[in-house]
Amino acid sequence: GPLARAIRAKLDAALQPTHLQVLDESPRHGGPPGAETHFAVVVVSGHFSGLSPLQRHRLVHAALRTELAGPLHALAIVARTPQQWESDPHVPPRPPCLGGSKHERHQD
Amino acid sequence: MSRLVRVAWRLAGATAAGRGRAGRALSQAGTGTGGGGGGAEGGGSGSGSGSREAVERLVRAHPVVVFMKGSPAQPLCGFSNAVVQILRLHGVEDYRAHDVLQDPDLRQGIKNYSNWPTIPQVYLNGEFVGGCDILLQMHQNGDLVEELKKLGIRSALLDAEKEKDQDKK
Repeated sequence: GPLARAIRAKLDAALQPTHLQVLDESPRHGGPPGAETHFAVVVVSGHFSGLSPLQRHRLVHAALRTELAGPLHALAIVARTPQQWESDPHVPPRPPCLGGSKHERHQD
Repeated sequence: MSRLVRVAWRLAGATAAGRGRAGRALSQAGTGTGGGGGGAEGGGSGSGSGSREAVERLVRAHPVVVFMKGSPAQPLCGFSNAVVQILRLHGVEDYRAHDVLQDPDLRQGIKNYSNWPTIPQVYLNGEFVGGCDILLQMHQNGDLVEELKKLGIRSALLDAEKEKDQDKK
């Protein structure tokens, strides 16, 4: 979808990842397919070297500032250096949805 | 460690199945924003529940503070539930949890304060630590046990490890 493409383009430009996965997880959170509200990204980039997990996530957020201010409602991030990815190319299982968005008084 | 995390996800699934849609618990431990409609005081500025001062007070009120969707007894989002489950695994049951779904001013205020766009948010000793992904990483690599130790909290996992060793003997 368009948001997935925008996310991919922004992360490519900001972080030059050696490996990048952009997954629309909206269906797992009660949305219809293609809702593009909840995403998971796996970003492997040398830019993360020497940075704490918090700093890495902030870099990803900075690249996606516009999207996060808009339709992007939730973002799960795996951020590793190429060395880390080589030794562990696995992604932890995602927590199951508990219907969070449905409990909001108004959608933002 | 990863086995414990998988157990946590299964627990989450079981909780969701038994929960039902009605009867969301409205009271949370020490929420601090519930009294008298904090949001009504005016748009998150000055004395509003979303102001920097208000958020600062909340994050400093306790060594472990969590901003989440729902409550520890009844999380309303898988990521928020993950934080609750991880803390539970470490035996941390005494912490301040704030339900941002109850207070839109607080919800925006906490995002401004930490410059972090999503919920849940975890604060240790008044300092922003990260969201669910980061807490999970810290749990898996042992950092969380260390950070809790700095706060004078002994992780239950240390005792679990000790018991396992004793069983082996």
